Amino acid sequence: MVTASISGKAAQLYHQLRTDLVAGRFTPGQRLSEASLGREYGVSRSPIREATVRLEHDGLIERQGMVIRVRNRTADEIVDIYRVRVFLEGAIAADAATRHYDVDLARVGQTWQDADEVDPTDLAALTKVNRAFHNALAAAAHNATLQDLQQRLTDQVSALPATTLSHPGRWEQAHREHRQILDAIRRGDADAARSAAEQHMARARDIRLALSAENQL
Amino acid sequence: MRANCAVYRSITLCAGMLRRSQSTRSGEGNSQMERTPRSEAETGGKGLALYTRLRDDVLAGVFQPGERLSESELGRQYGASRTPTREAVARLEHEGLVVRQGLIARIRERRPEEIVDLYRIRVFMEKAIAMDAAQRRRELDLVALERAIAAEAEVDRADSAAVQEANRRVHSALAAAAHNEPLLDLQQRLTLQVAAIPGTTLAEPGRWEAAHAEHQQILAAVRDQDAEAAGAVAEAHMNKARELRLAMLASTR
Repeated sequence: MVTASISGKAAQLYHQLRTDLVAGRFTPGQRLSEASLGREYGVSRSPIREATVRLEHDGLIERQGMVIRVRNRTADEIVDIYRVRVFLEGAIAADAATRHYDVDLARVGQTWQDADEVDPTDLAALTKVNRAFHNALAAAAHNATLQDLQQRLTDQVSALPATTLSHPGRWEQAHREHRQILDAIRRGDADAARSAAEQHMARARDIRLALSAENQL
Repeated sequence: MRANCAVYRSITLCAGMLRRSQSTRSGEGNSQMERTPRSEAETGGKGLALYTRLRDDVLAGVFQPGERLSESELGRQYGASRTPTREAVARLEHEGLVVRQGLIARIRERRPEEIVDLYRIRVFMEKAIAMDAAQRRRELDLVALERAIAAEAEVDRADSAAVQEANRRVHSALAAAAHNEPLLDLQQRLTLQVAAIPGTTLAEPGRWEAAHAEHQQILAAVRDQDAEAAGAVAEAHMNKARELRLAMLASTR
């Protein structure tokens, strides 16, 4: 049987490291040694190995032989992540429209309200409320597999250095788009919800594309 | 009663998609299956090697859905020490094949609704893959896809595990042709979870022939770089699989 201390330590380290990676605390390509992680997080080698195996599997770090690095993605890969999110978020919105309970609607509505009150210059806060909205939406879809895939992609996006929400005018637009998705779900209109969510993510994709293009100039 | 054991037997996922297991397996149709014997051919870390064997056994239905996995017990059976065993189980949990309730790890058991959801998602996933493959495929991808489809036709149709593996190779070749890393990543995750579901839609009467013909249609559209056609055929292909799975689930209730 699994013992609490060891499995617990690895799980704790995994969650903490993942939080740090997703928060962009490390730079893409940065080398992570097991020894330095051990010192920094105060854990021994075995839980570090277990945690890094999981993070590698999450697509957040990569291992080349004995060297562990924060995963670095090409501009094309980043755009592909957004392209996949277009249909994933569309599917989530469509399922949420037909499967939601009242409490799901209340929760999605609450995250929208919270977002309405956030300081639009506070990027960290924007990222947080944006994610809360999409998480509430994913929960409302009552589709464990969609939720699983969505979380996987969202983590990978969050670990990227910049956010599309910092693009001028994007937050206001995204917030309006969230409202359209919410309204369609409330009406139980799966087609409208899907199309609103797809457009929402397609715009994020276009902004990401523009950001990548700017960086290449 | 559970479906024929042959269905669960010897599932080895596609080369290039996941590391292949060198494991050997017990004979066809045995109701009592053995844990994979230790193999010398395995390379890489102990945790990874054990994980690969354990995963193949999970996919082959050696364990029952809901079965409790004791790390000390697994360690004895697979001849592994504690750390690699823990790593392997953690990784299976991570892949959605094992669930942990508190300290107890169990083989994931899926409700019929969840199984149908997996198939629903595969509909748009395979559609997206086929569309990207049509636009991004290289010459080499076409050759690989042609070969996978040709190999599928050579498989002994009575060998359900081989039929499933050949089918996965076709889909794996298609996914590789899409040159879309996140899409490939999600497809692999889904494929693994679908592979862990007992039974196969390919065993339904007439399905294999139809599926093989649909694979050829997808190939033709991908070759022609016709994304719309490729997407439409792939979507219809997976919708059919979803409908068959729904019927299978309905008849076993």
